[in-house]
Amino acid sequence: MLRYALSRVLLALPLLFGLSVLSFIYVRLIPGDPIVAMLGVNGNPALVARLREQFGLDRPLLSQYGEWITGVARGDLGVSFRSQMPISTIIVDRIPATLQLAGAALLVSLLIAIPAGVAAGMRPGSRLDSLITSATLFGLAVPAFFLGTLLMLVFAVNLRLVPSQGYVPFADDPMQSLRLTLLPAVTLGLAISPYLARLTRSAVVETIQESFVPFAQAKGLTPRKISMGYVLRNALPSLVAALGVTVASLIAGSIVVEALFNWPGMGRLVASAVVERDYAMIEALLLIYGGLFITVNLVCELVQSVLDPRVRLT
Amino acid sequence: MTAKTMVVTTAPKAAVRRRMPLRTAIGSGLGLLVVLTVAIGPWVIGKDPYAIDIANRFAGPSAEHWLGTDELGRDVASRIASGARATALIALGAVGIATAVAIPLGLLTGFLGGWVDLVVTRVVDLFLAIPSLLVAIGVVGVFGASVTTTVLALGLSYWPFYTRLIRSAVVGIRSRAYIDAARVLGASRWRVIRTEILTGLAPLVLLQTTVLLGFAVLDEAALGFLGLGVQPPQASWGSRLAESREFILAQPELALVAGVPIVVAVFAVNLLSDALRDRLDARRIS
Repeated sequence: MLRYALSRVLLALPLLFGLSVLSFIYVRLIPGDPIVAMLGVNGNPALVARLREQFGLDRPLLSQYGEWITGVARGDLGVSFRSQMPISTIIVDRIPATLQLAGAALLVSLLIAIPAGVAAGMRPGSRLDSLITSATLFGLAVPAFFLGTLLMLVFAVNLRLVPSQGYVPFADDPMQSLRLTLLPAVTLGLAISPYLARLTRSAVVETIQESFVPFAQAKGLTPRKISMGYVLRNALPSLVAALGVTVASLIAGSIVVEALFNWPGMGRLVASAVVERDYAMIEALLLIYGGLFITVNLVCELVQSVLDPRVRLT
Repeated sequence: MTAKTMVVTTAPKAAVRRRMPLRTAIGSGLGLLVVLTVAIGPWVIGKDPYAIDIANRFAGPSAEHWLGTDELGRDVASRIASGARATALIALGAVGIATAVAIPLGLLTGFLGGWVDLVVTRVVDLFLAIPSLLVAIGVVGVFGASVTTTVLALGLSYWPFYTRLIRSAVVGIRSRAYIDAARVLGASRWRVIRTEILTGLAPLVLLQTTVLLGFAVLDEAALGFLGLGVQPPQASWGSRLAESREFILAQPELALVAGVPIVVAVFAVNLLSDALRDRLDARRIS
């Protein structure tokens, strides 16, 4: 196990290194100069020169990268071109809101997608399966902002059950915080559910073809026992891997949902950084989101190998 | 009599399969609606999508304005119809770019192997580590938001996944016996790629382009919604969302009307690509 874990981590390291190089080069790829791009062509040349020096853009690339990456290792992501504040501080401020939304959305999605995927996958080709499959095809076609607007309109504007937009930290007012989380979390959860349900279905379809299923049937076990005890347990490793992949849609979805609901999370930073041409911020966000995705998938692979030791051999 | 009975009893399954499944029918119907909107929609509606009429802003649906008017009094129906054109072109362009990058790279890596394969696969893995919407947003960050950038951004965000798909398909086809047969017959590498591998890839490419078209429409809309896609006042489904977003609490029906064509178009694409997938899977089994 330890050897397997170590080899997986060693495989992830070059990926993380490549990601850091990519995010670093990205900012330097911008035609012209990032400072000029930010201030506009008519920016004061003296100011441009001063900012270039301040952000170290006038030094050799290798030394820039060296300094940047050692800073990153210490948790220092540099300074925002726009607000001149440390990026780490800005991002750390936003992490609780993002985690709260993403966690709640994931919960919603698991509650919907796993039962739906299992029900569809247990009897492929059945009426229930084609109903669920069609529902996922429809769900995949509904953009998160459309769904969110619809939910907002029905539950916040017309029925007045929940507030439409806004955020309160959980520590300040837990009840209000949860009420505000409800709509965005359901929106994001529903938005990623079709992906997860389809992945669950195919994992289950694969599992029921294994020979232990007819054997369990021959023993006279109830379908319920077979699906809960045998199929789900054996499909679990694939489900964990599916969850890792779903994180990408969770991240993409959170950028849109946070914008729709005025949710002060990390996703909001992405769009505003691009609009404001804050390249240091974009660089940091690429690194963080990519690193997050790599790490989550690494963890999922390790969990998978605990659940199913056979994957360690391949 | 006996012969007739034979036919009936041996072929019932095939006969049932011949009938067009419901979802294919629905998908084709909706798809046709979208194609018609793109092709003749602006002409049928016959209104200038850019004509501003402030006195008539936020008007409800009427004989004059089928879907009402927006925040500047422009005809919503004609904005959606002419936006459909822009969105369709963007989606086609983006999928074209992704395909144009993925096929040569996939062939190169899957067929030749070696260090080229190693290097390209590593780069692909790296890009796959970044969610595709972020890659697209990153490209917009470099070039600034516009129609061209949207095409480029979406195209560049789809190539890694597509390349990996093509590569593994090529590896699968390469090991088939008919490839060896062609080589033994003296076919050159280039000929094998052209006549054997590319034809083998065709169904997959057809399926994948269809699937990606749906994604491209969704992502164009997402970029537009974030204000990073096609910029208003230029009409596209994404920019329509960006415009309606400012009035999302006061006039939410505008945002909903802007979203419906996206749902219809992508649902049609999803139904058709799913039917296509079943067709291709069935063929692979037989």
